[in-house]
Amino acid sequence: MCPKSGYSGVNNTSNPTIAFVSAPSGKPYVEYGGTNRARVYCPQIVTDTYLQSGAVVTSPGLQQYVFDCPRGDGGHRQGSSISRYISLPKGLVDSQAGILIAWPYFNGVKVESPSPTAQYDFARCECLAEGSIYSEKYQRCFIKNTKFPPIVLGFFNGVWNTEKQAEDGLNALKSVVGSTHGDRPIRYEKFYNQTGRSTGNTEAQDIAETFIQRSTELDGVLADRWEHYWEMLSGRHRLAGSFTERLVSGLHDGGEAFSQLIDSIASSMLAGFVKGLASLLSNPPTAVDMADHLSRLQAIADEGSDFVLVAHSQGNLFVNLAYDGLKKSHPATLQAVVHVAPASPTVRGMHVLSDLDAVINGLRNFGSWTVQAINLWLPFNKADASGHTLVGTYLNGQTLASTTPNGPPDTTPRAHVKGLIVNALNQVLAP
Amino acid sequence: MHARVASATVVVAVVLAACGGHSSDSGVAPPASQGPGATGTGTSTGSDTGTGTPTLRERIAALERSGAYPTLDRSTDIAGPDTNSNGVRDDIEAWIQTQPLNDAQKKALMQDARATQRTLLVDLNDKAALQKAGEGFGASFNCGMMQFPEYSDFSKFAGKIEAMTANTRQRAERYMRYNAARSGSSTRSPDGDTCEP
Repeated sequence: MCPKSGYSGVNNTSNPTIAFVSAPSGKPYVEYGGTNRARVYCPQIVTDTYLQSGAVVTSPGLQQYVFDCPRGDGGHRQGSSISRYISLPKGLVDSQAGILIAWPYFNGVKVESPSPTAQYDFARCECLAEGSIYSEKYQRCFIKNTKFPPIVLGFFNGVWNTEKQAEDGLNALKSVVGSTHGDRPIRYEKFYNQTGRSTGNTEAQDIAETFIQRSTELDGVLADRWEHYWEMLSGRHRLAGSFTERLVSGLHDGGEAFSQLIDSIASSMLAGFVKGLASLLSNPPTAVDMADHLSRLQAIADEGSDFVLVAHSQGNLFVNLAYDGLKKSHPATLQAVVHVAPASPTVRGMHVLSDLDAVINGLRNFGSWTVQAINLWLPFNKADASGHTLVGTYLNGQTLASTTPNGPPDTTPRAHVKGLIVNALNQVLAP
Repeated sequence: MHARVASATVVVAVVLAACGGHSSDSGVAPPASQGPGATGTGTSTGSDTGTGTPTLRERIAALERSGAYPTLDRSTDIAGPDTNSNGVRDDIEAWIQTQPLNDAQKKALMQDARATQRTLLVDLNDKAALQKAGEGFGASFNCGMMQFPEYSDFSKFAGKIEAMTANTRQRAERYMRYNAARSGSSTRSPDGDTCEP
């Protein structure tokens, strides 16, 4: 007979690895414990041993997770509950998956969903078909309404990006990674920082000042043509079809001097980026500078989400602080970091740095800052002469790149960065 | 490694200095033309040397008259002319309309232009308004992603709109102050259809 509820009193000695709970309410006690995990309680134990490891039992069309509670010693003892995290199979839907539960010694079930965005509910428990080796002892409870909170991909922008350029970087990442990973939705959020200093944007003003000073040359033709400044700031001034390129090609014979002025200013701005980054490294951002961002990360973590944090250039200084701060306040929250062109001496995850990145590699010469090792080799690309921008260089899907020095091309920067992010997502999904 | 990086940096600088006077083509298909394809050097309208050789300024002006380079508003007014009060500066709207895109894509660019223009006019002391301005970018980029099959195409247009919007010293300075005011903010990328009607 298959009891629907209550303590059956069956001595489960024939199959000691299968055990668990079917309560009067028919629902087992499962609590959402984190990414793709549930915590299963044995409300009443008869021994002090911990739950033994579970095993996935599959049959055609079904995924089941079977887990153990300690086998009884013939007696019953009211005691404190013990629990263990189990990993539930992904993509669980009603009637396709369930937790095989046996009741011999234990009763008392409860479904808890402490996270508002994570719900495990067992829709029904049913007796197994007669004749099954389990039918005398077990019920199968099916999971329903499984809902996982999204993984949040947080982006920390690079050197002197405008907010719009940071938004561009975020969406470029979104176009590479997509909006889901397996069955987990990915949500995107940008954590914008322009200066990192509460004292002001001295470095950004310096970059603009470079343009202002140089724009007086050639009869001041650039003095009121700031569209070229923004193109140089984003590294797009030499992109085919840019305003700068259209002007240069349209001027023909008269364009040589103008073209040289543009390149000279771009070079000066590049030097300014390196100088400014070195200045930032000398006076790195502190937790105070990160307070608002950390608060936001903590609020998201409270909703149950885990994180993949992607940082570019100076953003790596901030992502390190974010990672450390969140780890301290929310140690159970899972995070993985991907560092793109990191300016920071230390990292918290995998990184990518191109040999042609004139900004980060320039730091080696400017005060001998310790930077991460080069691990991606690229051919020169006129469209982004700095070799540093996120969209122009590190998410470029057309340039062939090599992951070994002097090696044959075996990837593109875009594919390589995507690989790092996918690894980070997998790390968060399967800790 | 140190010497190699140093020499690589020098190589980059040399290449940068050498670049010039050539149409670039980095392998990326150039976006749509911004006007009639005339690329003449312009007509001589007099010169400061008295020799009849047009100055660089005159040549640039001629390019703009020919349509080979867009004529942008460069008035000292931060907002610039917006005759139909649709939140997009007239010259930028005119440029968008000349792009060989479908109506939905042009609307997406108009939305992005509106969001960008808003950043020049928002009250920098109003945190809620600043956040709303930032969220405008999220909405416009999400819309752009929906309307353009290749995100990189929308990205290039969005970059040009930014460049055109903050195209004078006054506007650039105002734009820099906006970005400084947004430092420390966080903004979630929206889901669903965020294209304006």
